[in-house]
Amino acid sequence: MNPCQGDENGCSPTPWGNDFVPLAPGGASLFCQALPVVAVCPAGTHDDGNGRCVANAVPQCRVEVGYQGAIIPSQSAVNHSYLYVQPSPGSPFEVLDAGPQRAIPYVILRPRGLPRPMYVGFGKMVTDVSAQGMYQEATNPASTVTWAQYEPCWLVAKLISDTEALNGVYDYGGLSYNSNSFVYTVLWDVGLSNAVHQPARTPGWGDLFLIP
Amino acid sequence: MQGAFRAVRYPVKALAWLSAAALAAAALAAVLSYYMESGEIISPPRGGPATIALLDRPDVRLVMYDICRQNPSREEPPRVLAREYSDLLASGAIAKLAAGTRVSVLSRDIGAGMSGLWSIKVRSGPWSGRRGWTCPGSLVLLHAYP
Repeated sequence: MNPCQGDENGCSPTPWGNDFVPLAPGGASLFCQALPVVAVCPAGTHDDGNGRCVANAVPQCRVEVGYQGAIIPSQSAVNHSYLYVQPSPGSPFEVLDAGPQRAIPYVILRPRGLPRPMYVGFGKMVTDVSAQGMYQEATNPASTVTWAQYEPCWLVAKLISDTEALNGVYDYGGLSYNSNSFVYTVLWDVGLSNAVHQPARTPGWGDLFLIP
Repeated sequence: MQGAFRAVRYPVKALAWLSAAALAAAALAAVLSYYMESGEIISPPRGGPATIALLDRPDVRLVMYDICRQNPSREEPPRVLAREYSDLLASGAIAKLAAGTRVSVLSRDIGAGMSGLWSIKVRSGPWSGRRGWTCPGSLVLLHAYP
């Protein structure tokens, strides 16, 4: 007797449309076997093997926020922050960082009414995407990672394109509008500025640049 | 007479103090400048030296741009201008610096001149004292600002 009663082949339909066929006569099992059914799925989804369309997994890339001591890399009295990112899943990390065009300002002014000194001569803020980092952040043993998470790779691509877009656009401000402001700005642009806590002693964090 | 002497003595003394303070500030700025500008040539991904331009000339710029843009490994001649690269290397317009060579990074150029290249002064090795330009990925600075 055929254990799978139903259609003319002895198969019963399942709720999602595929039917069951009986095992070959003389088989050990009394159960029926599912026929493979391939669904035509819309873009961004795929067949889960049961004829159902499920959303594709979004490729995930690692994003990390780090800092190291400014001026003296091993001393974190005042810090310089940056990002480590994976451009594609499992790829080597790139460092996204920023700094002044020139290491020494020519003049330091303190105009009346301004709460902070004004530095003239640092030049523009230079931003960089590189394996080593402008300040060897990739190999500095004093580097501290304060936040790390997997994020969609498109978001990492946005962090990289924002970094490139900010290169040479704004004046470097010293204790404000600096590398910490750069990190805050690119995180803000991808909606991560609230998720990431401000690294310790990073003046300029919270200052936003307008990304061109 | 004594009063006149006193009247002259104090401004002179004050001027001397001011000059000393200015000299000390200038010396401190020079030391800080040297410290903050210090960097070194790093090994390209596949090892080997990095190329620097020693002259700011249009033909040198073209070859440097070719190296920076098309040959990120930097240890080989540029793909497009390979012959020009050899000629410039032979004439001393460009040079190869070994990884670990100490340099001072004078400016990271964005606009005019060697646009996009970093202006450096070599601090060690056979090219010590020479000024040059190199690709941004060829070196690191040792001290960061916030």
